[in-house]
Amino acid sequence: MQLVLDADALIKLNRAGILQIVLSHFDCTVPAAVYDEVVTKGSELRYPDASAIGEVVDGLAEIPPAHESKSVTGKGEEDVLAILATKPGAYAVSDDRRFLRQLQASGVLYETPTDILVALYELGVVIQTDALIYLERLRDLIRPESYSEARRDIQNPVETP
Amino acid sequence: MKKNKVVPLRIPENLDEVARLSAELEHTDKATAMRQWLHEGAAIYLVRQVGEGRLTMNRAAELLDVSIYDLYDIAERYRIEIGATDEQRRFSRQSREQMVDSMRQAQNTAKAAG
Repeated sequence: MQLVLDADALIKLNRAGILQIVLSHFDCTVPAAVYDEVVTKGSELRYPDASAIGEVVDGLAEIPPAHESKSVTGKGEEDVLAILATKPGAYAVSDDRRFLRQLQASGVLYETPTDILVALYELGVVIQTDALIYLERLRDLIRPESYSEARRDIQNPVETP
Repeated sequence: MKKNKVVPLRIPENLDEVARLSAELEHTDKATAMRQWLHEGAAIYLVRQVGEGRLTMNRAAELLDVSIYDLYDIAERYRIEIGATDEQRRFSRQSREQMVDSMRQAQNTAKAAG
C-alpha cells in the first residue's frame, strides 16, 4: 500500500514513535519539499525531532525531487498533490485541515496519522498495549475527538470474519 | 537577517507602560519588547487560522519565516486545536477501513497461494 506523507504526518508519526514502523510496513513517499522543511531546515535549526525523522526517512522512503510551483497553499502540499497524481490508489497522510479539504476536492483518498496508527493495530502490526501508548504520545497534537475515537477503536476492535 | 520595515503605530499609553516594564524585566529595549509581542501574536494568530482550516501549517511557517516545529510548539503551548474536522475524520476512517480490508485480502490471498 502506497502512502504519501506531508510535514504534519512526519512530525506526528515521529512523535507517536511509529514513523519507522509505518515506513517499514508501507511503501512511503516523502516529497523533497516536505523533507527540506521537516529534516533539512529543522536540522539546521537544531530541532531534535528533525534529525530523528531524517535518520528514519533516509533509506526507508522514496524522496522524489521537488516540482516547480507558485502555490499559496504551501510547497510541500503542492508536491504531495503532484506525486499523488502519478500514483493512482495511493493514500495521502495528513491532519492539516486546510490541506485535507484540498485533497478531498481533488478526489484523493487520505488518512490522518491517527488512523494510520489504528490501521497498524488492526493489521496486527502493533499490539493493543503499544497502540494505546503511541496514541497517548499523540494526544496533545490531535483534536480530543480524534483521540477519543481512536482510543475506542483500539480498545473495542470490530471483529473481522 | 530578516528585512525590517518602519510602521508608524499609535498605541494606548498603558501598553507603552507595559512595554517599558517588559523591557526592564527582560533587559532589553521597548522596541524589541514590542517586536517580540508582535511576532508571538502573529504566530498565535496564524496557528489559530490553521486550526480553522484557513491556511496550512506549512504556509503559516512560510509567512512567518519560522520552522514548522515552532508552530507545533505554539499550538501545544496555547492549546490551539489543529487537525481534521469531524467530516474529514469520517472520511479518513472510511479510507482506513478500505485500506485495512484490502491489505487483509492481499494477506489472505498470499497465504492461500503459499
